[in-house]
Amino acid sequence: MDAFSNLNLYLPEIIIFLGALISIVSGAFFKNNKYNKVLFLSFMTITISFSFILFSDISNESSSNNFVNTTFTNIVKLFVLTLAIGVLYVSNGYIKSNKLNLFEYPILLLFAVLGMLLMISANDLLFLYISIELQSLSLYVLVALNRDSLKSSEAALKYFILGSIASAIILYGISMTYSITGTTNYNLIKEFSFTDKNTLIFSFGLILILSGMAFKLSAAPFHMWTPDVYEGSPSSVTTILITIPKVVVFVALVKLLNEPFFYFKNLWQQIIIIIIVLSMAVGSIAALRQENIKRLFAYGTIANIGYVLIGVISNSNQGLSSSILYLVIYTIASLGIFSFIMMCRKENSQVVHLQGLVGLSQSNSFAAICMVMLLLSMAGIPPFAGFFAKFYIFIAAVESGFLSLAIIGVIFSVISAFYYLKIIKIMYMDSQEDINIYEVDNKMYLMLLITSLVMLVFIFFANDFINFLNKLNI
Amino acid sequence: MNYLEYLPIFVFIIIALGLSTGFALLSSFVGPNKPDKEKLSAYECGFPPFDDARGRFDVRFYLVAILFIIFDLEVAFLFPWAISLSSTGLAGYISMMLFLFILTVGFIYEWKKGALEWE
Amino acid sequence: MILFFFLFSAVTVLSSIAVISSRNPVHSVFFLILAFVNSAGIFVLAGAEFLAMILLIVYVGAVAVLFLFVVMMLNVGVDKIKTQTRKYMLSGFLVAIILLFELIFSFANLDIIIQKPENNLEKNTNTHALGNVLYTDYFLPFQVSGCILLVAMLGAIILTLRKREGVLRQNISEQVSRTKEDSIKIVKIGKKL
Repeated sequence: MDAFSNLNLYLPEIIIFLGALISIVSGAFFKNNKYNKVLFLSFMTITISFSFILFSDISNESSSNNFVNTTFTNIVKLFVLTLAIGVLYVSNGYIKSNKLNLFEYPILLLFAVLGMLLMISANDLLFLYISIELQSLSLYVLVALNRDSLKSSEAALKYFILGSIASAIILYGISMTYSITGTTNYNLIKEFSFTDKNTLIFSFGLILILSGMAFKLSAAPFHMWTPDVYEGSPSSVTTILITIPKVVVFVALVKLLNEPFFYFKNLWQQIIIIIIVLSMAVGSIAALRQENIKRLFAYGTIANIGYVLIGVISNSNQGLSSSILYLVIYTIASLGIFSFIMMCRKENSQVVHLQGLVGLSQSNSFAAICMVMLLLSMAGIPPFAGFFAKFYIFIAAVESGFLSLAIIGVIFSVISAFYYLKIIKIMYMDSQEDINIYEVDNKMYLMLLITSLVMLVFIFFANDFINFLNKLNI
Repeated sequence: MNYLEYLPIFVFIIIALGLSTGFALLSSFVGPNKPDKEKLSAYECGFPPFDDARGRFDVRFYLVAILFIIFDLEVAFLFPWAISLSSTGLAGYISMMLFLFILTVGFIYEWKKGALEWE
Repeated sequence: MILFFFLFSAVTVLSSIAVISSRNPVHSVFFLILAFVNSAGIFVLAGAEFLAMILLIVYVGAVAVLFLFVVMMLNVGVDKIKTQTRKYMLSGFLVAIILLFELIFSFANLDIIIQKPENNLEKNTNTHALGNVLYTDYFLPFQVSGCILLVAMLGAIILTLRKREGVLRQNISEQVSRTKEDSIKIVKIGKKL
């Protein structure tokens, strides 16, 4: 009866769930203009859930067997819901002009968000697995949504097959952990691993789970799907993929490493160091030769995940909060960049190659300036937000004794600055014969403006923000 | 564990195996065996065959099959529920009704979408 | 019993090899079914009758049928697959060997006895024990799995359902609610004709 006695524990999730069910039924019964009506319903659902978390006590720490709410998870949930609203809002124009406006689109996003919210609070390996599955399954369908496009179908197939293998690997790891501990609950596993030193199966389980999670994060040795999927799927879906799941899987991974596998820190620290170095190397070097915009940012993601993970291996709460800071800034900048990519449209087709951006500074100087700010922030050039993100990450690395890792990180961030600056060069300095004219969408403009302003003004709030994160018990 | 419960199934499998191999062997020994090249060639009104003998299946079969699997899984969840209902009581009942409600929503959706219609 | 275990596992392994090596994809699916049935036998020997029955109902009854549909829908060229298989044989073997060693190492070093589940299986059946926890203790994951099935349903319909143009459909409510006024147009024909 545990499940019914504290229903208000999962009220935000229940709201999303009910909203999705209502949207399905009403979407099936609406006669016309289905997409807009269901979109409105989904906005309402997310907003209600958001305001519920916000206005009920945020610092309310409560838990059941497999579900734990803390201040930190509440704040992450708020951020995820904000991102979901932002993504839906900004991609509206893109979805319509590419004829993706099926009313199932927002519903699938709602289910993905439901899976993510559950994943953030998961306190049980089995529950973690099943919420990952809910999130992934919705995302697979979203990637395949443009079913007349060969590239989209190919991307969806790759994502689906590789993603299910990763899920299977996670499940295999969970079964190994279960076989030795006899439980899937985080707290019980932690107790068990403290007392019992029969560790080989347990560490194999940890390695398998870690590999599967690294796949979901698109960290380096498991990154192969990322460029193809990001390139092939519709840009609005890529915007989802590059922002929300990254935050959520990262939070779930941090929790996984620091709770059930806490006493195995020596083991997972080494694995994550390998993942970090490979991610930074692969992401930075492979991106240099990319001509396709989305592929370039896909490799950029891989490199950035490497930086984010640096905070995990440090031994302090400070390291984790610098990781979260990096992730927040990175997702906001990605949202801006992808709203720009969705905006780039000429002669009724999307711009996919870097060369399509030639002469942007003349044809659309406002978008070009915003893009410059976002790209400089991504490259980590001061006074923009990205600089502080990298700064705190490297400080955390040095303080916990990973000086060499910080040096490698700086080297690769210099390399990656090259391709971000290359885009700026293409926009501003390359000559062109005909001036490209883009269709203007106010929503994307607004998002571009907001995100680039965030990058610009973050300098004034950097200290407060990091102090706030430090105080949270992550 | 009492494996004797499975004895009838085992006997059944043995009989099935014996009969099927028996028939296959019997027909190859007893039946007339006069191989001819023409017997193997495809017969299509005097023409050589135009196309592969195995035609492609329509995607719609696939849709029906996958919807079948989903409801099959739903039924699979019903078995342990039905057996243990006496001990799980009201909580188990409510939890299964909610589960069925979720899938009923899906059923309404597919009905309205016309996925169950055959054109 | 050990005899049956070896029988079932030998047939499972052999038919699994046949799945990946047979030339005709339809035969592969049949060998897959054989492998499923034998794994169900292994489950029964391990005392998990419920899993064995689910394997038969879901995998043999539904998934294998779906596999057959897909094989027939795609009409795969066998020889092309053959040449590609050889290319990936090495890496596949590598992964398989790593997993094998992982299993061997971990079970060779296992010196504690794996705990048995708490439920007393002598009194209760397997299915009963599962039902006791699935609907109450694991209430939330159970409902989430319902959501997963719902998303699967949505996805299948979105990705495969195409309304065809120009097909005459039966729409009962529309047909019944037709009135004389909106279906028949009476035209007075003048005497001039």
